[in-house]
Amino acid sequence: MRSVVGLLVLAILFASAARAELAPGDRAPPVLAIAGKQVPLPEGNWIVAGRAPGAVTPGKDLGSYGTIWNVVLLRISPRGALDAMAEINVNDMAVDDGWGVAADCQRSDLVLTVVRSRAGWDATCFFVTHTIWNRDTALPAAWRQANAVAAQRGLILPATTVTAGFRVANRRDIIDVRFHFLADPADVPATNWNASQWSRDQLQQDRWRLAFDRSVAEWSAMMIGHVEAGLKNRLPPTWITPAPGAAEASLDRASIMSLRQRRLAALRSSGLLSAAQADRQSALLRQAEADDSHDAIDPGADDFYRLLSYQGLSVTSDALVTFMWTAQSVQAAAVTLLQASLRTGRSYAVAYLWDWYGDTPTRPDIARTVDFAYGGVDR
Amino acid sequence: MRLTDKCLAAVVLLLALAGGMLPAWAAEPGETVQGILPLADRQLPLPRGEWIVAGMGVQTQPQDAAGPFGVVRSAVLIQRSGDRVTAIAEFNTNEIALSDGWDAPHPCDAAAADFRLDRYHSRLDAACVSVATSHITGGPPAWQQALGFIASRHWQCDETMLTAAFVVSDRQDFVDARLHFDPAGLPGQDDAQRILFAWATRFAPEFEKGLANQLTGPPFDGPLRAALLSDTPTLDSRLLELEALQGDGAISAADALSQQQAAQNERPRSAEPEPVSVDGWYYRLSTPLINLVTAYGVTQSAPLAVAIALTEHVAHTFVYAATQASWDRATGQATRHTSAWPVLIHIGDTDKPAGATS
Repeated sequence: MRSVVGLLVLAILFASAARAELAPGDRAPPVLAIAGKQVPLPEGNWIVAGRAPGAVTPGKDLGSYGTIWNVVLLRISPRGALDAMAEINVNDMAVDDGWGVAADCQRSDLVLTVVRSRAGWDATCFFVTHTIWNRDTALPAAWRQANAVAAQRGLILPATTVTAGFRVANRRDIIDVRFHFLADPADVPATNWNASQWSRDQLQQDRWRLAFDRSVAEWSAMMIGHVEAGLKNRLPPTWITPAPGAAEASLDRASIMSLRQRRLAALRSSGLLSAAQADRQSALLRQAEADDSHDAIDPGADDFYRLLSYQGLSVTSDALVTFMWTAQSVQAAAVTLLQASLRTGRSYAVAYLWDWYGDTPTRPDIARTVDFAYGGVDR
Repeated sequence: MRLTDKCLAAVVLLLALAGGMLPAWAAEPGETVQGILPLADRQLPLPRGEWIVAGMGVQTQPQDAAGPFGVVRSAVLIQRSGDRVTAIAEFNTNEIALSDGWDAPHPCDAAAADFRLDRYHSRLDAACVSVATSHITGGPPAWQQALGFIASRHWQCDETMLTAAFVVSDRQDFVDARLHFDPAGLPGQDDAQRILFAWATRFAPEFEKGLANQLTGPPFDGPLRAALLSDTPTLDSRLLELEALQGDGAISAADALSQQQAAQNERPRSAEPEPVSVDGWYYRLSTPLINLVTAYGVTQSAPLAVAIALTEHVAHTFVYAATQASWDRATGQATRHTSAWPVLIHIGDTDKPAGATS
């Protein structure tokens, strides 16, 4: 018994030592631990290039999150060149009232945006686009450090990258990670984001660029599950995440859904699940995998349109009923108008009193938009 | 357990904790744990002291249970003083994370309790705390195992205990936990329930930390000891963290001050009630009244006003049912959570025999 307690103490001491924050220049592990969360990195030789407090928008009304840790990493190819960059933003302290979705996840002009969950206290989405790197813009502190590290190592920073952005957030924590892949080192800087050869409109005419974007998109669909798992520290520390361009079978094998299927199979073989239960759950898992946009309907918008249609039809039925009984259009209009006004006033009063005297304070179940200061330009 | 097995387990634990990642591996009956019980890839918090794992099992689910959550793992742990069981912890949690939430917007509603706090609830998450008296009788398979464990050691367990119940759920996971305390270790009945409830509301956030595998600090004190110490241990630690960040230069003095002020008023918020909640008693009562008074005010005829109000009430009922049904059809697949809340048997659920399904 004592040995177990002793081991726990040792483990906790060891854990705190192992969680010591990485400094610029350090080689990054395959799963980066930052502020009590894990961020998986696609396979490769990553180095931490910058780490500094970042900025969040809006900065107010998010509670006491401490600070935002902005970490920039560079991936060095076997030939010694820079072939990818990553920028990570995470909260230092957990909050009580959630975060929100990224503005980029709500855009329609990107190559791909997928919103898997968008509610008041839960957000999961990813997107694929391109980023242009304008050296004249004011850079966040972590990016300034990264530029210095790159210069020190003789790494050439790109003009344009293909970006896969991931946002996962729950009531407590947020991870915002953007991976920037150097597709073509010969890319010339575009005058603006829209004019780039990587923009959605120009991409259709360029089969090579289209294929590159497609491989990043396929990889992103696998990656989002791992970023989600990282929010709850559920990735094995030595987990290797395949990089874009990996074989389809390899991406399938590494996907969270595939891992869950294997776990179901293990439960079945251990006898904890019957064959029928395992088959049923396996089918439900496949269904969940196919339905990638679950909860994509904004609950707030859903509520709004439900209310609008209900109120519209109620007022219409009130007008008809009153006219049917009074046979006077003026009286019917007056009654309907008064009723609608009083009921609206009542609803506001109930909401106010609910907020004031209810057990818990409330806010709409609508995702807020929360963003960070980033290094590149993607609009 | 052989020495090599122990070494292997220790290495696994060290590696897992070092990375902040806990394996599905969990403690075995007879083992002692402190502060944290690792179960199904998450941490379950325990009040300070040595806890003995007395039973591990799964909750039996109906064959047609909806939801790819694998199984619901259960654990029962006990704390003792001499040969007397002074506290029992029972935990239930899903094995595999979901991706689209639980079809139980208010899993706390079922809790019958003398003291209850709905900490928050929304479409995708919920948390509540309650305190009640429990009869320590029948229970889930893990409890049956624990009863055998207790009997084999000739330990005594009171038949009535004070229970703090916790439910936390989010889009992926849930934890249903009950901590039963021997009332002999607490002051008189009324005070004991009040003390336990105050403690439970402070302990509840530990379950959220555990779901995220973020339990790193020292264990939370038990109810009686906590009552004698700080009333606000969580706030205290937040303020200290902010002070440390300011000291390190990560945040400015102004940021630190505003966040310290925010920390003192922070409470998790719930989702606003459904805007068209005509099911609420205040809406059911006030809508016909508003309609009646308004109709009478304009027509100055009582029979006409009653007729208008009654007809409108019937019309509203149909309109509500029709709009909800059509919207549910339109948005159903996109907003529905396919996984039903699992069937759970707790200690003291004497009317539901162990292993039963409903």
